Amino acid sequence: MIGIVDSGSGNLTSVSHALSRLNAEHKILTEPKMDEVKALIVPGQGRFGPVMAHLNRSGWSGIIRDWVASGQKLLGICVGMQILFEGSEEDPNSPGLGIMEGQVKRLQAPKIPMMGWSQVSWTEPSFHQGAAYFVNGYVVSKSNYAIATSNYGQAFCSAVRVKETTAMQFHPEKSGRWGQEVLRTWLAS
Amino acid sequence: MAGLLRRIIPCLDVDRGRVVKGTHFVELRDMGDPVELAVRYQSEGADEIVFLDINASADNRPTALDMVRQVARSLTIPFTLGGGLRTLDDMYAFLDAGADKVALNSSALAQPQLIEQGARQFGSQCIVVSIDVKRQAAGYYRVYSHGGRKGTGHTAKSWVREVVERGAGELLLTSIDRDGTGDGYDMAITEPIARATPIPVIASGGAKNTAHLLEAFKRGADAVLAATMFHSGEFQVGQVKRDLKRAGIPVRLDY
Repeated sequence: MIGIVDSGSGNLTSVSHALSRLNAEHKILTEPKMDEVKALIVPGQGRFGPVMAHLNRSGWSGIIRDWVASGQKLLGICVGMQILFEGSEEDPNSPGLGIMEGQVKRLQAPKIPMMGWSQVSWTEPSFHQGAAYFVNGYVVSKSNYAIATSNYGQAFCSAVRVKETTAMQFHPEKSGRWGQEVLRTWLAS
Repeated sequence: MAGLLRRIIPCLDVDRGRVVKGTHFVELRDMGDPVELAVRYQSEGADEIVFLDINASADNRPTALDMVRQVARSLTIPFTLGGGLRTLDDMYAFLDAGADKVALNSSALAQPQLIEQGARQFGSQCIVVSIDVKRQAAGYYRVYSHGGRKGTGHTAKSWVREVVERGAGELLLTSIDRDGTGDGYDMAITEPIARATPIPVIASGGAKNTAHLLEAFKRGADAVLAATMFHSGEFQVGQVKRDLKRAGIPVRLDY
């Protein structure tokens, strides 16, 4: 059973639909009730600050930190990736979960937000190269945890991994057949 | 736009649950089931789909929401819903049903604060402002509302500037003069706006062939919207993308 964390930023349905298409059992978790949950997905859209505020208020922040610390499987998507870091220029007064070292910075590109498809170059052989759908104005420029990079105005980390914690700046649930394969690979990992 | 692939977006005008297409915003013809068509375009390589509910009203709201729910289950690519969104609650209803973005047109002209309210509530990335323009004189375009029937006091450039300041995440710029004519996009207005605007601009209205799409991309459009050339079966999205790629336009081919 996969638990989709309600991060208060909407668009849980597209993640849920993507898992249904892969026949992966899942439920949306409005509160941290983790019975039967073997893996967590933290989706996210919109701003860093409000998502962190929601996670703090609803008790998720501590749960997610403990989940990761105990070596259990987690996938962060978009802002759900960014909140794993220490903080973001988008909302400097809202500390992130600090599971990964580093700061999220404003994307240096001609048009913001980055909206559309861009090539993802994996350094992990288990994932296939391809184009992903991105919607974001902030990125992690560089990280020791990078397992994929992309380019829009600048190079940035499009996916990171530390042990059982994986995170993607793009939206695999919106990235066509390729994105479905990315999710399938993560599920099987 | 280094790094971003150019997007091809089939547009489905929907009237009470069916896809229709008209010329100059009138003369509607039935062109099929929206979910079926959208899935076909996705498998042919479409990068996004736009649905415009051209006869949106309170009465057919449940039909529209039901369509969005079905589309959300079936599509693995992003889609936008436009038409009849007058309040934050309307926007929420369609985003909650699974639309990735909502497009505001007449309602944004009537209540421009809807743009910043929507952007604040749901994020700029899901607020598309759809702008219908008609040429008045060289370099002078006026914005029209209500499906091109009513003139407004806005010039294209002033309204674009305002919606960007209010937090729109993307512009869908349609030439009323060109829509349905097959004469190609009106690049005389699309190019300066696409080049000067700090958010993505989708060219719309008048595309009939690959050359029209190529011209739009060469002249700064971030994405192109097309309906009839795909609905008619004369062009297939994947083939068009391969032709664009050969002409030097970066597009997504691994769909």
